[in-house]
Amino acid sequence: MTEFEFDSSVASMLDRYTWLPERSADWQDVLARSGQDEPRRKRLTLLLAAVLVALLTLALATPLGGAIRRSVSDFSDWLAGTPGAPVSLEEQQAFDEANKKSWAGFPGSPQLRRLQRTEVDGVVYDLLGFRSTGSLCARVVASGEASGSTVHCAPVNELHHDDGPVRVLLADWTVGRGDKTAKVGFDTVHSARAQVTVGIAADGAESVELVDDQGSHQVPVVSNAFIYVAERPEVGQRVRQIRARLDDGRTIDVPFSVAPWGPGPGAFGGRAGEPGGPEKVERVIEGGTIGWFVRREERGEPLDDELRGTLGLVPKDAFGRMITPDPGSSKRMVITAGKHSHWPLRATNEPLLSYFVVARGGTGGSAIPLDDMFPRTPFTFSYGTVGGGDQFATFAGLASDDVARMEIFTATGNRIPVPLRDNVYLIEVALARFPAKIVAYDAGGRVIGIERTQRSEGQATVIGEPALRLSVAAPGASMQLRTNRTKEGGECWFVNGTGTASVRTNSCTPKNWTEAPLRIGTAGEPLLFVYGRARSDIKRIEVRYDDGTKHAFTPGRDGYILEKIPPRPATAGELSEIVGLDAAGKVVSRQDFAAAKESPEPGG
Amino acid sequence: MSSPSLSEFESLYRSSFRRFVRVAVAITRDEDAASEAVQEAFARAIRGRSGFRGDGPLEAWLWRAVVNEAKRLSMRPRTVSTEVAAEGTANGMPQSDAAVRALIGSLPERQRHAVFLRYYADLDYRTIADVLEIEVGSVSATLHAAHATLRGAIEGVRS
Repeated sequence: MTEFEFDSSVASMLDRYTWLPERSADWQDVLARSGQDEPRRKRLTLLLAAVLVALLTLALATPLGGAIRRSVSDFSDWLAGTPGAPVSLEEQQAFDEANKKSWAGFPGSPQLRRLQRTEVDGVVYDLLGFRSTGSLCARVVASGEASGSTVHCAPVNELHHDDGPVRVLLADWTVGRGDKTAKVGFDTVHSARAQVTVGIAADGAESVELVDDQGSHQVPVVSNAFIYVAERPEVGQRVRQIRARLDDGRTIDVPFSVAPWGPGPGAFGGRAGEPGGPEKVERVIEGGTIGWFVRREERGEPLDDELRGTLGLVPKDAFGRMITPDPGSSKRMVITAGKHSHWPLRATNEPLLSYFVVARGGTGGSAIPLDDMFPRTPFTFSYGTVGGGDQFATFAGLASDDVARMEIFTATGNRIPVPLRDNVYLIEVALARFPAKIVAYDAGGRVIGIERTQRSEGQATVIGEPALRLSVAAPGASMQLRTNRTKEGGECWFVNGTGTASVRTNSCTPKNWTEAPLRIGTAGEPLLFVYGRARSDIKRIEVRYDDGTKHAFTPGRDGYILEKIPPRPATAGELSEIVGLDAAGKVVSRQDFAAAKESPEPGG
Repeated sequence: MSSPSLSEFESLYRSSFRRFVRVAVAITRDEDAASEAVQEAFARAIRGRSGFRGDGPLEAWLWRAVVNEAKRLSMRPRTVSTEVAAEGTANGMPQSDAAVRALIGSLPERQRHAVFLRYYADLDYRTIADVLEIEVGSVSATLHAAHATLRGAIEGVRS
């Protein structure tokens, strides 16, 4: 073992012996204890002088300096769980009851606090907040002519990643139905009655300015929180910029993720930068397993009958455990060895390990073969949000026994330890920090797995009338494809299939199309149609079968594809891949269909 | 030698607060007590700053104050144990969180404190010696003994 490896291992062990303090620095408390707490006038003068010195120093050091002065201590009311005022006893009891009933209940005894109330267009919006161990949460309740409620949280650790004075928890949450419509592809989309954006703020934040498609709007920070209600928004209207105004007059850009809307690949928004961290796997591990699960050890908590029923676990007494990798989070993971009757796993007799993230707002899950859990990488990789406008993605999955610890590296320069317990990992990371990379290490500190989030291609706001309309038909099936340009300079296409080729989908390509040069879908079983788009360097498409035969064609105008596949004998080979070739016949892009059929489908 | 100024204390406090608390947590095993130790240690140091002789760095003097205060508070009876239950493990490997806690916890107190001051506080041997009030040679021997124990445990896991 090298000295570096040894030092890394010791550091890791010390990390596990102690923990990162949540408590924030409080210099005034030190001064008060030491008897240096001077009369207020003098202290204020000194404070102002200190602020001036700090501002001058930072301004000289970096032009961004003024934007990074706020510290985590400014969120002390939130960290203490005491922003705003307490709710009534009845409200607290109702909240406690609902929390107890949830499998993803908030840990601890969160005390609900009333932060703000505002009325817009006949709807009253109550903004409430609470701290639950490792989460700072805002609850929005709409009542009146439209109603609804939602809860969104930020992990407390998020406050340690930078010194921003405002954290957005929710962007453009839709309430009710508006009176505007827009045609998007084959669908008519209605506007919302209102869209709500909410965040928490440090003590020094006075107001927040939000810029959406209708202009700039300033809302006050009250009880360390802000709420902005966009009244009667347009279809697809989004808050695109947020700035915090501080009590010292400074204005600071607030990073956040614009709520997704409309067609597109759905990759989460983030920065243009790259996450740091290791680039290469130092030790390749194949065939990993989860020993305790194979041995049926009773780790974590048992599953109650109600949860077994909800997950459709068959047989009902199949082995299953609930694991809580992060005791501060309300999210958990259920792992089972049974089948799930109403969970869309591919029909198979293969024994599977199924796993589900249990969260407020629903569960999502997947499965891996029990006898070949980690064939190529030592952990499963997936991430997602509960709903549109959520500002934090949950990374959750399983890690083999080879994994001793995991870390996430973000494009904002953060290096975040990932909670890992009983081979389950789970962590929430702000979308504004994307793209991100998750790295697994073995007990010797060697890198044994690296996965990255998809690069976002940004928003795609469809404009104008369809630029292209294609259609194709086969006995018992038909398909139409429409294309539109986007406000951002890219293009989107929409597909509507009927009969045995029933499908309704869409996708987009950005103005500067670099990733995934062949974006293609298939419909029909056996294969009837191929649709999608090829980048301009792809001159020929080949649909290849596992018996060595193929069907070739050229992409149409602007690279769009809507191809009818000739019928084949029932005894012919199955689809194995679709490839895009350039003018020289070199493969530019390949989509492997054989591999896709071998693995269980995700569900949830 | 004039007494250190308040701004020198403040600068060290603000830049190293989390390191101070984390080392104090390692001693007290209680975040509340650790925070209390850091606050009180700084307050005491400010009150007694005229006694700072300047024969070592101010930071070492403050580390000594924090370690001593954390030790004092760790001996205070606690009403609530903050020790995490030992049932959970990080993974299927024998090097579980519980095992790691047991291993680090089993180090003699001086070794444990020296390891944290070396790895978390990032102090050199001279400063560690000042903080723990021992000879520099003793720091070397103490860390060597701790390393031998930890290396055996780590390599035992790897083999």
